[in-house]
Amino acid sequence: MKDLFFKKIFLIIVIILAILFSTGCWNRRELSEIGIIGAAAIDAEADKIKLTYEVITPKRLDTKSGDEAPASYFQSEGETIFEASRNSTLKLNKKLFWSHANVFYFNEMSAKDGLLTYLDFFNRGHESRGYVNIAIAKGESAYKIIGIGGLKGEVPSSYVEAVFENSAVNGKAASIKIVDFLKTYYEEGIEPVVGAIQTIKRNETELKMPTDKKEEYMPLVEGLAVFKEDILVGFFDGIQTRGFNFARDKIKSGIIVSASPDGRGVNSIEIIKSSGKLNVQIKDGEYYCTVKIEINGMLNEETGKEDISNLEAITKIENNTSENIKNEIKSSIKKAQEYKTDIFGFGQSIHKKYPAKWKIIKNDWNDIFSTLEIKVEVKTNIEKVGVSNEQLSAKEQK
Amino acid sequence: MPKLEKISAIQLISMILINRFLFGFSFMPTVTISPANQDAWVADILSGVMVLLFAIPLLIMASKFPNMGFNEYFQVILGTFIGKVVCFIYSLYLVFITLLTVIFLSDFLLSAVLPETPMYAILLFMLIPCMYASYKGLECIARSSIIISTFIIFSIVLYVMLNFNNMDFEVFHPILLDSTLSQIAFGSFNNAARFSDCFLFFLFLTHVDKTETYTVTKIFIILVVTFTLMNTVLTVATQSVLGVGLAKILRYPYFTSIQQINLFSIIQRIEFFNVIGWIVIFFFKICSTILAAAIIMAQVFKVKSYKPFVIPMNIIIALSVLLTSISHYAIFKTIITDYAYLVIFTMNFIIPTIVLAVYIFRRKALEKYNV
Repeated sequence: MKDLFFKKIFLIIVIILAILFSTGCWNRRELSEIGIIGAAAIDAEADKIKLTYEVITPKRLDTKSGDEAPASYFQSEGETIFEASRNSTLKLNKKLFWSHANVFYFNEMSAKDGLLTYLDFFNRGHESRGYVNIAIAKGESAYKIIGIGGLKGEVPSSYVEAVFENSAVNGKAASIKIVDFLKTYYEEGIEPVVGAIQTIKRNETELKMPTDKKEEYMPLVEGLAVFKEDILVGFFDGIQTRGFNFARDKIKSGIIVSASPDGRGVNSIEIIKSSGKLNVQIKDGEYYCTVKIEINGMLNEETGKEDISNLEAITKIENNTSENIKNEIKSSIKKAQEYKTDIFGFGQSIHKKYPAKWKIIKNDWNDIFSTLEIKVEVKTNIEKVGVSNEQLSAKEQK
Repeated sequence: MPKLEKISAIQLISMILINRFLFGFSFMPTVTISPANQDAWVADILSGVMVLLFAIPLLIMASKFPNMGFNEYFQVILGTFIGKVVCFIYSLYLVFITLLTVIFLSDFLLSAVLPETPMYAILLFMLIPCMYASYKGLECIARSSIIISTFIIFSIVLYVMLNFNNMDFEVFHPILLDSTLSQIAFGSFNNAARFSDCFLFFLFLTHVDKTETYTVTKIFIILVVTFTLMNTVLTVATQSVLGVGLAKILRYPYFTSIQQINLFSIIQRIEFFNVIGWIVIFFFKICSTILAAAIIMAQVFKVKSYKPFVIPMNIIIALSVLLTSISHYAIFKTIITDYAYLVIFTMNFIIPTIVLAVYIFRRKALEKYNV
């Protein structure tokens, strides 16, 4: 009886303790105490880092939820990103919380310093995640980009993140996450790239949109920041970026515009499927590098006058499209060779195919790459021409 | 020998399997130490073979003395005095392994999950339930291990599936051309030599229900094949998500790899499953190792129950973590990376080999103990 009594008392104590300790964990942080970061802009300056951050307002995120802004913006400084982040508490009543960040912007100086210096905080810390987009602010301070974009009530960083995701169906931009950059950096025979972002002035029509915030500028994610190791060496424009994406087999869709068969107009081919492959062969000490692309497309627009319902015309369109893609790829390779950085991964192919040779040349690879003659082969198959047999402008021929 | 309940072979396998997940979930020797390249999975598979080879002395002795735990037949073979000294050392060794496990757990929680939680709070909330479980005995731990091992295997499969779109299997090329044979062999050895749960297996083996049809070797092979397969899956999943180079520099590569799960911007931040798995693995490792150490100690000092040793052992561990600098990152890392596997290898293979040699010399005198 006595034993049973003590067991009951013990059980009651255990239950009470369990209830007490179940109310929250040691590291609990209430929503009102944290500043949820949506985006951060890191501007490296000569002796300090300027950190600008978007703090998301926790509320219903739609345009009907009142006039309250979806996010607020603050800036703090420090010698490191972490110090700058903690210095935010000198002016903000919340502690920054990095787990839900969508995008980080870096100015050119930080990328030229070596991006790894600035990524260490995000890689080492327990809050941030590797799937956050990173982008280099082209030609301007990173803090000028943060906070622009999106409709009224929309969090700008979510908007920019979605625009970056669109690059898969466009090809003229690239969505690069922290983990992608680090993964490529640590791989042999390939150099990393990062998305580029800049601001462009809105035109009058865009400013008239009734649900819009009527901002003077909007973000443009076209292009690519090219790195050698972790140092920024230059930028690709949209076309070069698409050439790069073709070669790296990152294209899911996109529109290729080329001359009509009769040369009196242009046509738009939508890419339905694209496959790209790099191949390197070494014979007698010579490198034979080839980029082979095969795309399946659909004719979605034709402004020329020639009848396109015959095979000959289709073949001409296919050849013109192939030629255009070839030029895009060649242009991006040429640019990368000027920068002396193998962002395509030809070195990676050598590493896989000729590991013994790779061990000898790996330290000089970027120099070797810059002198290579690279062959580009593109094959276009236009399988469909839309729902019209003839182009609308063909009447005068009849 | 203190009297313990009977368990089934599958419970024993599950129990040791859970403990073995510790390395796959934490610092992954083949991914971070050697060969630390795309051939890590080869080293993982080879390490399974090495574990089998290293266990040969114990397997031979276990088959010769099927009704005895290793602590008992060590005393039979080496004589009472030397045998007791050796068993006492083994008991201390298991306490040391528990200490390292506790530091491992606190290190993970403090660096990756709960950085602001004080160490004493972690120790308090971890060691008290562990003490309770050890008190409740082998059956309690063995029974729950079935559910827990299923949960952990399920979590691994789930994470592999959710992370599949992040995986790039091209990182595994070229196969076997970047590593030297010695690098792969060292990686396999380093991994295999960390099988500290080997002694738990040979201690608890005598408590497996004899009505089941099994052989010691068969159970051991099933165990080794299962954990080798699971660890290889973890290695391949981690390296294919993070790449070989990035995985190498991380402290908890598997944990970082599952942090990358982000499906449709909805399924993300789901590593809590893994954190639960971590804590449970550590819980099992701590309570089963302490139980083993207490059983050996009770047998050495001819005490009927192992229970009086459980609380002092846990207190020693807690005080060592709180009052010494062993849990300091640099010291702990050196111990784990450079020395722990040598200590475990000595205890797992070298000492049992010496005992086996003694047995061979004395086998005629010991025939009466054999079945």
